[in-house]
Order: sequence, then structure tokens, then C-alpha cells
Amino acid sequence: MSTYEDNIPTVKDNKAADKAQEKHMPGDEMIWLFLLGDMACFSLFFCMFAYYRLDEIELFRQSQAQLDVNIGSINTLFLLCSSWLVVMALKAARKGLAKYASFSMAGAALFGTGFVILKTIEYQHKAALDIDYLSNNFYVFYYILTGMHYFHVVIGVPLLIYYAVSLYRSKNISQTDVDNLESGALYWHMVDLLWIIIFPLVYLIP
Amino acid sequence: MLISIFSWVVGINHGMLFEKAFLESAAILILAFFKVRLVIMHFMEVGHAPTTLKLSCEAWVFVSCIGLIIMTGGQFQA
Amino acid sequence: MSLMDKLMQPMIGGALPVPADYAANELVGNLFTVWAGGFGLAVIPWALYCFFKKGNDIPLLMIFGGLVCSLIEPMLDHLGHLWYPTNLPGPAFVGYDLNVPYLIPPCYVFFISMTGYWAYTRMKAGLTVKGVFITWFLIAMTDVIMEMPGTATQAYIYYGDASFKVFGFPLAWGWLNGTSMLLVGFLLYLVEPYLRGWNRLFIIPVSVVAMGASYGMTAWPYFMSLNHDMPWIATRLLTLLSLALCLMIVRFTAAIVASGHEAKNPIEKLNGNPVPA
Repeated sequence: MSTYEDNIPTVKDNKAADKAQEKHMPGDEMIWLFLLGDMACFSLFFCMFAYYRLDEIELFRQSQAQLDVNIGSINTLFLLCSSWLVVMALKAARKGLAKYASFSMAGAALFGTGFVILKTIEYQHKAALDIDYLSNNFYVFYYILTGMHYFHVVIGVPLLIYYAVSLYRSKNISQTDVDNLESGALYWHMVDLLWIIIFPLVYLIP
Repeated sequence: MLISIFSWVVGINHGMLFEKAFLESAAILILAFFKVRLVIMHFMEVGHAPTTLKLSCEAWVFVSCIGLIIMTGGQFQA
Repeated sequence: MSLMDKLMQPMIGGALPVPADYAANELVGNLFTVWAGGFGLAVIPWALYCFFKKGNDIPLLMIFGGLVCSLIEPMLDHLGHLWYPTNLPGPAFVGYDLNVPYLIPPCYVFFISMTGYWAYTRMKAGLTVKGVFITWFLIAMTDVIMEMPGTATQAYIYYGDASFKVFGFPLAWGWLNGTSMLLVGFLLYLVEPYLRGWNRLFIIPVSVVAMGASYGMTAWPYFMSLNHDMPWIATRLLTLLSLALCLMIVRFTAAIVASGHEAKNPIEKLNGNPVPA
């Protein structure tokens, strides 16, 4: 895997630039505890999904065919862009560029909102088809996995907006601000990476 | 980095080339976890973090990925 | 029904029967057990790491504290009209005619003790009044995130007409639980610097003492609204009163935490003495 990364020039540049602050712990220990706990729960869900799927493989395939892959793909893009903008915002904030960071954050929040809107539309389509979480075991998973993730996003977007507004207002950025920003960014990246797995697992796997 | 991630997303949506469903699932999952690892290492900056944290994250990616592939693959051994 | 009638409609309190025959979807029950309990199990390796590698015994002791603390869950459920279907994995124990499922003890480990410990680390690092309120809000949100998937899918239910339900989750539990977790952190912040040697073991009861105290202080209007006979509007107002009490308690906490950045000797602040440099 490392050879893959080395082919991407931007990564290399960052590495060289960040050499000075090597072994920097992003966020604090407790936020990582929360994130890893959250991620561990989700991986257990994923494994349970796979386990139940084996029992009812045909049912799962039929139900999966009813899902809208396009909305899911667009949402993947939205979250990736959003995550990337948060990275940009954090980098700008570290250099003290409050305005630039604020606009990046606002952009990230916008993509996050887009995700929420598309996902809501998708839920409405499902509701129109009289599908709810008790329809069958596939939909139990569909609603719990995507629904929990949806909650994470719904909580994350106001957080991003809060950061965008407070960055826009702030004249100078203190170390505490950067630390808080880091924790929020970590949370948002986790939301992104959970979707990166949920999407192929629930929507794509044949 | 962003572009490369995008290309994978597109690739996943259109590249259903494998004949066996199991191989395809495995490929999709491996790509997904590879992307996740990129997000963790670079977006979340774990690449420069203390070893314990880095190891925990790597372990999560590895264990979840292998676990899921085995679970989804079970259908063809049974 | 006119507005006045609606407002004054009599609400029957204590006579509510529990929905004893209600059963959750089994898969939903399993998933929710993983969700609510998984966090608690995930912190154990971390607590051991803190203890053996860093000599920090607080997380480990708080884990035991969380397990003890879970014993008061059925009391709160009974007063707060919460029902665990008997087909959830469990029971861990039975009390007040409630089957408390397996998920509760590990859930307390994370969502009372560890969030409390997090609040403690934040307070120790120094917080402004605003900072304490933000901490309180974030903690309350972790509770909402944890519970809503369970209530929305009816893995367990808050029965009866509780005030301000969203996806089956009465929002009052968000602020009540948030306050109790903040107070767990606050009590730890107050007593921890003075505990040495075997007295360290007193960290274990911190969770249950602070949580019980918090509910005594803030939750009684909400429990009244569920268990007394009263007009509809009174139930809502009492629930809002519990929010007001929570905000008051958080403000008191904030006043003490924010009065200085000296975390080694917090009691000095309570005495009103100038904090030694």
C-alpha cells in the first residue's frame, strides 16, 4: 500500500512540510476514545450485516436492488469534498488565515447539508414505497446503519457552521481554537469514513 | 490525493468486472478500506501521530476489513 | 376540543401500566445492544493502558464506578416511564419489575463514567463559563446520539405521554443525563486531588453519588409530570422547570470551575479563599 501513496506527489510534499511537527497528536485522547469506540461499534454492525446477509442472501439482493445507487454515489462525493474542505480549513486556521478557513468550513457545511437533503429525499422515496425498518432484515440494517450515520451528519453540520461563523468573526486564532477545530475535524472525517464503508457494503456488494 | 480518491469512487461505480461475486465484493471492500485508511492517515493526520494511536487505527482498519471479507465470503464456502 | 380544554385535560399519573407484552424486533435488539454496550467495552483496553503505561488509575476506577452506578437504572426507568422489552439480550439484573438488559452496565461505563471523566479532564485543563456550558451540551448530545437509534427503532420505549418526544425520545432525558454526567465530572474534579493511597478507591462511588445527586436536584419536576395527576400544560411546564434547574446547576458548576485555573486545590475556591499560587 505504501507504494501507492508514494506515487501521489501532494502527499509527499505535506510529509516534508510536516516533518517539523512530527508525532503530533491530532485532537486529544478522549475524542479518540469516542471515535474509536464509535468506529468499533460500526465495524461490529458491519460484521453483523454480513452475517445476517449470508442467511438471507436472496432477500438482501432483492432489497438492495431497490436502493438508489446514484444518490448514494453523489453523497459519497459530497462527504469526500466536505472532508477535504475541512482539511483545507484546518490548514488555513493553523496559518492564521481566518477568513479563508471560514469559507472552507462554510463550503464543507454546504456539502454536508447537501448530503442531508439527498438522504432525506431517499428516505422519503422509501416511505412512499411503504418500506420501513421492519419490512425485512435488510431494511433493519439499512435504516440502522444509514440512520445512525444520518444522525452523525445532522449533528456535524451545525458544528461546521458554528466553526465557520466563529472563524469568520475571529481576528486572531489561538492555539485553543486550533485544538477545538482539530477535534471537530476528526469527528467529521470519521463521519466521512464510515460512509465510505457503509455505501459499498449496503448499496454495492453483489 | 483528492483526485485519486475520486477516481476510485468512479471506478467502483462502473468497474464491476469480476466474474465471481465473492471476488467483486472483496475488491469493493478492499478499495473501500484503502480509501478509509487514506482518510485516517492523511485527513485525520494519524500518519504523524504517536505510535499507539497509529497502531490502534491500523488495527481497526485491518481487523474490520479482514473480518468483513471473511463474513461476506462465507456464502461460497458453505 | 378548545385550546383551554386541551391545556387543562387531566393527565393520569402513576396508574400507567407498563407495556409488558411489547416485544422489540430481535435483530434491532441485538444491534442496539452492540451500539449502547460496545462503547463501554471499547474503553476497557484504553483504561488498562492508562493504568499500566501511564500510572493513571482514574479511568479504571471510573469503570468500576460505572458498573455500580448502573444499579440505579431501574429506579430511574420506573419513575421516568421507560420499558425494556423482555426479549432484549439479558437480563443483567431485575429490579422494580424491570428486566434491565445486558447493555445497561457497559452503557453506564461509557455514558456516565467516561463522559464524566472527559468533563473532568476538560475542567482540569481550565474552562470558562461558556466552556462548561459547551461541555454540558456536547455530553448531552452524546446521550441523544446514543439513545435515539434505540427509541426510533423501538428497541426500548418511553411509554405514556412524556413531554417533548422526538423519535420516541423525550428530550428531557438529554438535559437530565447531560447534567448528571457533567456533575460526575465535577465531583471527580472536586475530590480527586485529595484522594491518596487506599483512599483512591473512593473514586469508585463518585459516579453513583454524583448521578443520584443530580437526579435528585433536577429530575423531580420531570418525574412529577409523569407520575402526578395534573393538567396537560402543567406536565410541559414542569418538564421545562427541570431544564431550568439543569441550567442553574450547570451555571453553579461553571462559576466554581471558571473562578480560576488552579485545578490542584479546588476546595479553596469553594471556601472563597484566594487560590494559592
